[in-house]
Amino acid sequence: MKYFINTFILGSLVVLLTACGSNANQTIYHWDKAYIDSVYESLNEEGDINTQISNLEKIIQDSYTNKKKIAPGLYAQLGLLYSKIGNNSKSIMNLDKEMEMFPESKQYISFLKNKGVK
Amino acid sequence: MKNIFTIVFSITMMIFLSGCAKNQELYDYSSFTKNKPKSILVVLPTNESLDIKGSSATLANSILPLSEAGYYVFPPVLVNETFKHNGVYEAKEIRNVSLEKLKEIFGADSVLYINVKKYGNNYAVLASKTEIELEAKLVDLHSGKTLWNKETKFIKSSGDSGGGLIGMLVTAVVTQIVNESTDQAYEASMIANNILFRTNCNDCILYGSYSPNFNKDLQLK
Repeated sequence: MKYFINTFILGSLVVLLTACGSNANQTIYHWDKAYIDSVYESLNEEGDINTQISNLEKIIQDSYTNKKKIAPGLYAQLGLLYSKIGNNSKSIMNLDKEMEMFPESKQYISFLKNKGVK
Repeated sequence: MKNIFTIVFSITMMIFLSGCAKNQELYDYSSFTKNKPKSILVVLPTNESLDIKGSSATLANSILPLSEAGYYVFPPVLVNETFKHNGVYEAKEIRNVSLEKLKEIFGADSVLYINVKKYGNNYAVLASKTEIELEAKLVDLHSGKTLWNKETKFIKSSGDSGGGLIGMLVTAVVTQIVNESTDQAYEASMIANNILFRTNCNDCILYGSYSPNFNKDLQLK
């Protein structure tokens, strides 16, 4: 019953929003909950870093597959994770990618590279 | 879990992209339209709730809606580490860092201060309630002016449906999540953030320059 109601609400919403001319599938970036979770876990100093790294690498691959842009901060987050396991070349590589994609980050990323991320 | 995320995501995107509900007084956007920030530095939210994770959950869940609104969102964990390296550990202390200093280090156009008023579950005798209450203030780092501010309250009680279309919809979604997730507050905060930072309503944040809808906000027409 609950499932039916949910489906009904969703269905009617889709109809309603279609009438308003919204375009629900046009996101700018490719999203995956693993990126949000990685940020959440890092802030709480929890979670396994290697697992997070492989999750983020997979998101980058999926973004290419789906021909969608990588979300702001994802490359930088990956760069941070690599620096935490001592892989400095991959850390710098990903920080540079962030800068390349988002020029707004240039000043900050340059600051980080001069200071060392950690 | 992934399916649930997809459902939540597509629904929040719908909420987000729907410009139907126009029932609030129009926000005064004069400073916002004058300054048009391209990038937002979201700093660690201050937290008045009893749950220590209210801050980190809110910060993590703000990334998606703010990015989709068209802003460059600075990487929250790196930003937080930078503060720590400079001896600033608490969200309250971050609020005291001068705008000048923030601009100098991060090169950001604006800073977003979020306060978590409520985050978590209250267990009453008969039913449990997941309650999220957030307030956000966007400050321009060049002029020091407040560009925009907004509050959102989101409550999920067992067996209720909130008011209005969005409330009803969100309740339906969260009900599905709750059956799957062990961290109800974190999931509810995802929805609360998507409501707080949605676009195209009379007190909504304006689109940023990465959005195809930049300068096309419905409320400004």
